[in-house]
Amino acid sequence: MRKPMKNIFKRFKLIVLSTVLFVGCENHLDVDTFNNITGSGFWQSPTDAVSYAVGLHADVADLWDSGNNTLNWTDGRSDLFTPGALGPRLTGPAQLHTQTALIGGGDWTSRYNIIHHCNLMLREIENITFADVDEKNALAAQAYFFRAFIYFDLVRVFGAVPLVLEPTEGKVAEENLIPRAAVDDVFAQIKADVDRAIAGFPDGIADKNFVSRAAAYALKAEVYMWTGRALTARNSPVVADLNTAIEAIDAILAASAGSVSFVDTDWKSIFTRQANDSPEYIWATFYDYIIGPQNNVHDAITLRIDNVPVEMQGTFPIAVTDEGLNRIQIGANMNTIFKKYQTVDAHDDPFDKTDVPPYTDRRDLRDINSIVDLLGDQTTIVCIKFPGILVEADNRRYWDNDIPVYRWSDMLLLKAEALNTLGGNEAEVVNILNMTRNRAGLADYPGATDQETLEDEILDERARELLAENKRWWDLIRSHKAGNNVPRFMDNRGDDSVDPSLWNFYYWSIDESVLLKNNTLVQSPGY
Amino acid sequence: MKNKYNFIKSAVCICLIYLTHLSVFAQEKTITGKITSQEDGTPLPGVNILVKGTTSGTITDVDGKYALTVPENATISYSMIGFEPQEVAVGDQSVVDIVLAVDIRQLQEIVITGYGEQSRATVTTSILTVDAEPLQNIPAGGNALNSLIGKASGVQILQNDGRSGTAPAIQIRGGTTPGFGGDTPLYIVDGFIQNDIGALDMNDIEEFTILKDAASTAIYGAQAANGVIIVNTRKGKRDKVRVQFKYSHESLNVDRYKIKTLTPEEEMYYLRMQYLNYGDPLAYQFVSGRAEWYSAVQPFDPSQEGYVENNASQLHWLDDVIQFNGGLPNGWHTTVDPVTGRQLAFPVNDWQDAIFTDGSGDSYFVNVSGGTDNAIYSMSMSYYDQTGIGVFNDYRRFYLNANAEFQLSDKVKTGLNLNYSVEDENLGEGNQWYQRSARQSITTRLYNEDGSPAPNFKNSGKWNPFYYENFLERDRIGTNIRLNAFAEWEITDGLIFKPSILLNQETDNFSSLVLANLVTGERRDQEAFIRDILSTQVSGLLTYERTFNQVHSLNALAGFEFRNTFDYTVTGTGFGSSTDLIRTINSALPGENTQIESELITPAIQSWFGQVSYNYDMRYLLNLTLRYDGSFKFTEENQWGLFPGISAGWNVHEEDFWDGLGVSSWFKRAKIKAAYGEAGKTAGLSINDTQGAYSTLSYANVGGVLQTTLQNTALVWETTREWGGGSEMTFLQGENLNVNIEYYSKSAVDRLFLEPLPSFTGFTGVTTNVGTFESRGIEIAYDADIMNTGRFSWNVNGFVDFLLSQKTKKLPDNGAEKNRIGGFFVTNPNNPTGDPILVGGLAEGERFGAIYGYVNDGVIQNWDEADAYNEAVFDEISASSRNQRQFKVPGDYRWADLNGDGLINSLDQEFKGWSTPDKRFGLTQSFQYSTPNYGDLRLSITLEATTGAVADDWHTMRMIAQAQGGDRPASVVRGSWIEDGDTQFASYTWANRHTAWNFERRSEPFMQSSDYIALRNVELNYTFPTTLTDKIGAEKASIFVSGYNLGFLTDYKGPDPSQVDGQDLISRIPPAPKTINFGVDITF
Repeated sequence: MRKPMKNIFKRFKLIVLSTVLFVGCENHLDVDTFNNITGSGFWQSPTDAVSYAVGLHADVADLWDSGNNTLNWTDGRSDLFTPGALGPRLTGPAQLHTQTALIGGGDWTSRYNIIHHCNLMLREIENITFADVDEKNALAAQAYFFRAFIYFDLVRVFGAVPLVLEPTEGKVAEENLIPRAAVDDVFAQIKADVDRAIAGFPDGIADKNFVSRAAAYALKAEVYMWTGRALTARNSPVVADLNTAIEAIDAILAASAGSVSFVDTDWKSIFTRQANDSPEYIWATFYDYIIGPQNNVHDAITLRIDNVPVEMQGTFPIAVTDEGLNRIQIGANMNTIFKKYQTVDAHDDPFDKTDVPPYTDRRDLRDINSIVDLLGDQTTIVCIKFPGILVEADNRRYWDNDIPVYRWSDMLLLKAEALNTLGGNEAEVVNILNMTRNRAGLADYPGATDQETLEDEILDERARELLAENKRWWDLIRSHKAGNNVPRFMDNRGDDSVDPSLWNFYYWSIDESVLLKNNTLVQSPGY
Repeated sequence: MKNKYNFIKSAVCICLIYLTHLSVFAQEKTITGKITSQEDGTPLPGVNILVKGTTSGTITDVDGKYALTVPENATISYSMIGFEPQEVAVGDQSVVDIVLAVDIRQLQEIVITGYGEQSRATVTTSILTVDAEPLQNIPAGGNALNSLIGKASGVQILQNDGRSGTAPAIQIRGGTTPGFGGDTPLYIVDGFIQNDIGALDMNDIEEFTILKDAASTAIYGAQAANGVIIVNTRKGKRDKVRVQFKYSHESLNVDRYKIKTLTPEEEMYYLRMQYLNYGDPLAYQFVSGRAEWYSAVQPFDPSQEGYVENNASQLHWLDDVIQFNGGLPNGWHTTVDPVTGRQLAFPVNDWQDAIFTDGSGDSYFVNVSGGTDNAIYSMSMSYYDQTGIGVFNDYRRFYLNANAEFQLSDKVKTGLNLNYSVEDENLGEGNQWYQRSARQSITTRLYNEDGSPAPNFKNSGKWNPFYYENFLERDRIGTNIRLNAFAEWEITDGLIFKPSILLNQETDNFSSLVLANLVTGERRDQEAFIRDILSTQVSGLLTYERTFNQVHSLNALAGFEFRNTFDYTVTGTGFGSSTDLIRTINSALPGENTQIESELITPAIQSWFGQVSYNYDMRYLLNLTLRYDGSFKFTEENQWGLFPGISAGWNVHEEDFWDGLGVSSWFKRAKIKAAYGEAGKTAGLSINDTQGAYSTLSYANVGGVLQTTLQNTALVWETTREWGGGSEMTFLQGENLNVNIEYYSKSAVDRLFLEPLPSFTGFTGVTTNVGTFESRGIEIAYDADIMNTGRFSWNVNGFVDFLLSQKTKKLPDNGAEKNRIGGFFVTNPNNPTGDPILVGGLAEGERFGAIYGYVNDGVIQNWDEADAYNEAVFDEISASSRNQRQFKVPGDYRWADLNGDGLINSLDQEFKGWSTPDKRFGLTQSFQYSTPNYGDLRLSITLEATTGAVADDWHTMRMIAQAQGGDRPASVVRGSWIEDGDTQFASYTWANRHTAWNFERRSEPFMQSSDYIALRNVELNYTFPTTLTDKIGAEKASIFVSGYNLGFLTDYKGPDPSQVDGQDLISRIPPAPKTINFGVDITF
């Protein structure tokens, strides 16, 4: 053990002595550091790599949370949300689809910070001796997973992005500046990393707050759905990619070794504060108001108490006093989507057999449990899906639900989308739709089953099922239907389903500060 | 808490009474005499006369006469500054007349040069001394450095925060850091490096010595690049025992903070008008969502729907009030609502008067000092107690300083010094009260019916600070103990060895508890912080002084200094305690709610240094300095740095030919000097910057680690290289005029800088040695005795500083034009339709701190103008805001489209000026009128001025922009647009502000020159005649009135033009208050 207090007195004594004796002194500048682990002190043993992998998870949880990033970058840009009645604080040009080269561009630094950690871990893990090579592979798999996960995020938000595969060492010489890589190259890297992750992980999910082989298959499905649909023209999908996506989804249950399943019970019970409580979840980022990290995402989409008419207070989760809530609120489109095909066959209602007479209209459980139309006129619709916990002693509500990144219904509906895009699978598609509908207390899907109607219905069903889970914006882009569904996009950019040049605006402009620090970068096309 | 220090006050008084009786001794014989000067035979007043081996003594009167009772066979010593001391054995004489010889050596001012001292006549570097005594009465807000404002050439001192006890920002000679605040000098207190001089009592300081150029600071090497301020506390004199008592009372006035307001009726009108301008008076936000808004009319009766108890606003319908109250309460006002035509009723609360309260303080100071042949000693004690301005603002300080030196033998001397201070501050919410106050509307409820403060908790930005004060227990106690001992051994004639040791302990204790209240509920947040910095230092100094052949004068020193520090911090937070009664964290909810963190670093610094001063017959002067410093912050290969200083001078007036020039009747003295030096800087650098750091974090109940700082093992010292030269001249005889002109040119090479990294690295930057920065300037300092008639004297003392250049000279090649780092694009003023140009950030050859802003073309007056403007341009900035308003309406600002692209965006900005001034002036005038029978009257006035900067008057802008129903509108709102023809400001309404972004972009009319002349200090001091003071046995007694920060002559509209780097800051930090004190100062 190093004893700093003793050291300074020992040195003091020595120096006093040597002063008296006119003797020179030895070098005392080589002091120990105690707070942090310095560069040379880390990466010694397998436990260091284990800790680093935990750090990676924390960083990703922070990214999803900080400044309501994820919600702003995904659902916030879609029709699910609209700027709220209070404060302009976190809504901006990107949500309004008015961003330009100079206003509202994105900064990807925090995402590349995670890439750096992945790259560093992948490099350093090679210098550590592992007794069990499987342990090493499983640790490396986490780094491969997150590198793929973040690049997939980056490439969807910005399009072409620099492809960085080595950790940052310090200053970057001008000749080593990295330009934007082609979207195809980025995807090639993502796909390779996903496969490495799948190979490295063992089967089973020890903790749903951590990534696993099942999560890697889910990521793989999303990635191939994207290259299969989003990057090609409407109605000309890449069949092989869609098939790969379907195979990946089919592999999830086996890879989860029984810990993931379709929850055939009350829809509301899926959403708990802690991800491990629900078999639906494949991977969710962890939040806890006491030990942190805290989740500030969902406070932005709910109301504070003084914005709620007195008669409605107490009927749904609201904030107590905190200012700055309702920065964004549920868009009017959601009401329309929920109302569509909302008839119920009471005989098929699996949960409530007591108080509803047969053949009565009935609302979707997801509608009831996700949103509240405050004034009944669709002007102030509040999201109550992730209510966190009200702590009376603190006089405040903490919004600390774990955020599901992948859950089974998401994957099922993604599979339905793939099947429908391939064509000729109507029965199977309707079957999946009925699974999620029935669980929400609705009758079987009553509408037309042609490919185009089903495409819209899958979009709608995903919106109902996955509201505020950061899927909608990507769903719309995959179908090139952002314009048709998001009035703000239509007003400010135009109809993307007929004009492919507008696809440029799916991507963000990059902030001037990002451009200035790397002169090999060019602004995103269209800006 | 307030009573805690009462015992100290008592103790100080008791000591005073006790010590004044020390001088009463057995009397055996009385002698008298007269003392005259050998030079011209004039009588010498004020000569110190002391019976050797005792503490009894006296001084001569104005006629040089004295009388003293002495024991038999006494030996008496006579001493006076400027004369050689004499000793006389009394024997059986009863009249002892003495002739004192002038001491040539003493007549020359001695200047501290760091570890040694030197005659002013032989100094060749740039060293400024400021006598502390004339500054001691200035009520400078608890920090001695503030009293230097406007008194020190080349030293910019900024008191940005009017809070008591806060240290000012200091920049010497333009600094080497972009902006202001990164150039804190090194402080040497009684020979030892200190982080600041915060707790030193101004009354205990003898002198400030400021080493300005690198040639002089090189002796402090690696830490001295920003200059060095040396402060020595009082030492005893070989003289009788003296006891000084000084008391002063100060009043702090904050009228400067107050904005001009509207009449209550006008205020209601403007608050309510926003309903109309918003378009939909019944918009949801105002009816239910913003019930607490001051512009929302509240139900009066608790039984009415929508009545909220303790609602912030007290705006009601008159008929409601009359119906439920039976009449209009006392003091309420009524006016017609411009929205509905109904009568409004409301009380008037003047929040500015309530919150911007004046402060007051008391200062008690006692010093006991004296000396004998074998020992000198001085002990100071002081207590300063200030109830500060506003809310949450108290500062108390107890200070004790004792030193003694003992002559053990002819060759050996030893001494010790004890310095202890305690600072006790009520921190409260910091400066929050300042920004909260000005924004409160008059209808906001200040007190509840029962007289307790109302919370106004509906809006966290505007909580009633009085309410919060009741529930916040937040205290900081800081202590500093400095103990040092030294010995001096004269090994042979002129060769002295001086070893010394230092133990220094600084602690900082902070605790905070929020009691249960309506705003934060039962959460009871708790916070505690303890920092303990323990330093040990050992140093040794060898000095040698000798004159060879009467013309070669040599003064040399060599030494070492090793310092080790143990810097330990523990912080804890918790919440959830079930009671208000336990104020420590152990009452917090157990387990996970409580967080404890600790931090430990053990800095180590080693230094070796040497200095040689040589002069030939006082004519040719040479100084050499070398310091070799090692710091733990760098890696082994870069650990050591060498810092040289060399300077030379020529005393032209000492040359034989000087008399032959025929100027000597008016040109008395001329010295020419030149210097070069290097000094280092490591401030702000952590060992992690060289080694890199990994930090711990937690996720899902598991601990994790991530790299947080990139390593840079190649980091080396930042070095400031400085060339300088100048001349010191004395003109006239008798009424001297001294003029000092100095030029400096310094560049910081290998600057330590967080160099931005490209975003794909995932880090914002890495600490590197980046490029070269330079500042150049000229300083002219002067002092003159304009008049001295014996009775009346008039003295001026001042300076003019010009900053010639403050720019980036070299940056690493990054491919950008001028290798610019950071910055943004604006329209090229020389070719508006061409490519935009990159400005801002750091770029080679550019001065720091260029301010860019939009060009305001005035207010759109009517719909025709609005249509024409909308036709021509599209404002991207307002279109991108939340409630996007794409089109301008009458009452909006018209922005100039500089590049003619039809868009208003960040490209449409032009250069507005510089953020820091480049010319500074200081002028102190002293007038003294002396009479033997009626005492002396002295008046001194200090003016300080700066020019060359522009500032954004965010304060006034905010007062208009926030006049939106939520905040109090200032009287400037009267000048805002309502109808065609109003031209001063844009329309004031809420709707307007958020959608059209009229105000929150930098532009005229809020951007203006911040040039000012400040009346920093006026002091009137009256010294009683000795005829009067003799009667109470006092040696000297005076009373004084002194004012500080008395006012500004400026066009700037905000509260304080000298608060630089303002913008947002100006509206959040209270500027220095106007302070006036009066006091009494008696020496026995």
